[in-house]
Amino acid sequence: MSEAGFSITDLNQLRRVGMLLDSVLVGAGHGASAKFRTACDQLSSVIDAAVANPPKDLQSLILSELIGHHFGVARRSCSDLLDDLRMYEINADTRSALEALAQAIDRDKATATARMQSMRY
Amino acid sequence: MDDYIRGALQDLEARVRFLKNRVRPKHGRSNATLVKICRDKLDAAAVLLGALRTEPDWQTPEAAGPRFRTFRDLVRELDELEYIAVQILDRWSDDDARANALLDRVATEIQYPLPAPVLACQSREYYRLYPDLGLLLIPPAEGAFLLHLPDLCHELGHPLLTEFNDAKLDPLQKIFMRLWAASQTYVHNELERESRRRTGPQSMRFYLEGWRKSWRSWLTEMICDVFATHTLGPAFGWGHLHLSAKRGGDPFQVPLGGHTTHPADNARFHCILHVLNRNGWGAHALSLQEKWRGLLSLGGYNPSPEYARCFPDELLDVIAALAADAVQSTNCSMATPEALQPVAATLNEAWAQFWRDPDTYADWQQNAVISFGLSLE
Repeated sequence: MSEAGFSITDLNQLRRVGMLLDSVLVGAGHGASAKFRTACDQLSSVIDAAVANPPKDLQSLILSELIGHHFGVARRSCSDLLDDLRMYEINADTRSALEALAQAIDRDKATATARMQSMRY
Repeated sequence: MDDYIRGALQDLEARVRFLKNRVRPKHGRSNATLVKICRDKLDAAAVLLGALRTEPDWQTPEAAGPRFRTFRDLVRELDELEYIAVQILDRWSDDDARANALLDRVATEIQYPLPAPVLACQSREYYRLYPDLGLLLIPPAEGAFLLHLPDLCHELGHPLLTEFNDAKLDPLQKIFMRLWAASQTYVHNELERESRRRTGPQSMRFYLEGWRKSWRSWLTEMICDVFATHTLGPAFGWGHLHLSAKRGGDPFQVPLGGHTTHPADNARFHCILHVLNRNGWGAHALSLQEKWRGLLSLGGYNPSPEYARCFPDELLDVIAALAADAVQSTNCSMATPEALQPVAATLNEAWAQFWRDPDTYADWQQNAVISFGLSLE
């Protein structure tokens, strides 16, 4: 009956997505390196999973509940974002959309951490 | 702020080295996995910190935001390692080692399909699992008592739902998705009904939205309960009653706005009973049900209309039946009256003894934990 389980798992999933977003944002300024292309591929898989309706599996369900509702803040359609990621083209609009998404996820991480710390003590 | 980030990164790198020096093997192999995970995580943090400070990619103006976020995330991750894992390893004792030996026996008996977490009797708040550390915490005195130990199996259920790309767990996770779809359909239909009524209170729509968001977490807890009941039998049901009586709130409580991670204790009890009846424990289920009613009466608890709307019996029956199928798909061993493995037998016997003679149970338990290998005195 502990409060563990998915709360911590959710935080770890948010961390993973946040890290991918930042890898794409950092790599974007330095040509299409292999690392950048890998990050774009992984991020597009995550976005695909998060917007799948209905969710195709448990991981996709977790992602859709955690980050699906944030795509509104990206101010670009998901399909545009996905097209750019798949072509490794991060222009100014895509960059600003991904940055907004990264900030929203960062706020979620901070809230989740605070919630778990308050449960912990 | 570039100077600040550079200095803070170096300060954090020094902290990583300091922590790594503290995380070393001791007290045999019982905590070896935790030591390895901690050292690997510290290494990964050191590499990332070094990159944030020196790699040209991270030094550009465009990378300033991502660098700050990554820095803060590393701080949180290192906090978690320092406050939890490093402290636990620092204070590791023979009690922890003995508890791990027990958990290994449990995992072997039930044919647990994943590596068992490292167990430490150092919790500050009942049972708690840290999946990414492979760490399970239980209260410091737990090694001297048996009645709550069935909750170990509940906690072992959680990783079955967070481990992906594992063919053995695919059927379980597929059934989880069916359960989730059933819960969402139910809430959706209720929302439709509310829309048609027009005259009903608006607050019900608000409640239903919160319930819709809660179902993923609720199903996780219910599947873990079903897993523990499947592998241990009535001992888990008694453990649930014990925990609800000692620490639970209103067993019919449902969130009225927002969402929660744990379903109402009475709804969980409904699923536990279903599995006991299904697995041949009918007489035990009856006795458990009688005591549960006694607990409800003692606390003056009654189901609210919102509870009945949130957790209708028909939905709980569907959930319990599918969850039992899901757990069966893992091929973990099932506890039946005819086939009880030694640890499950001891935990069930503890509860039988408790009810047979509550006045002498403490003496019985004192001897039982010694022969169980949990305590030396």
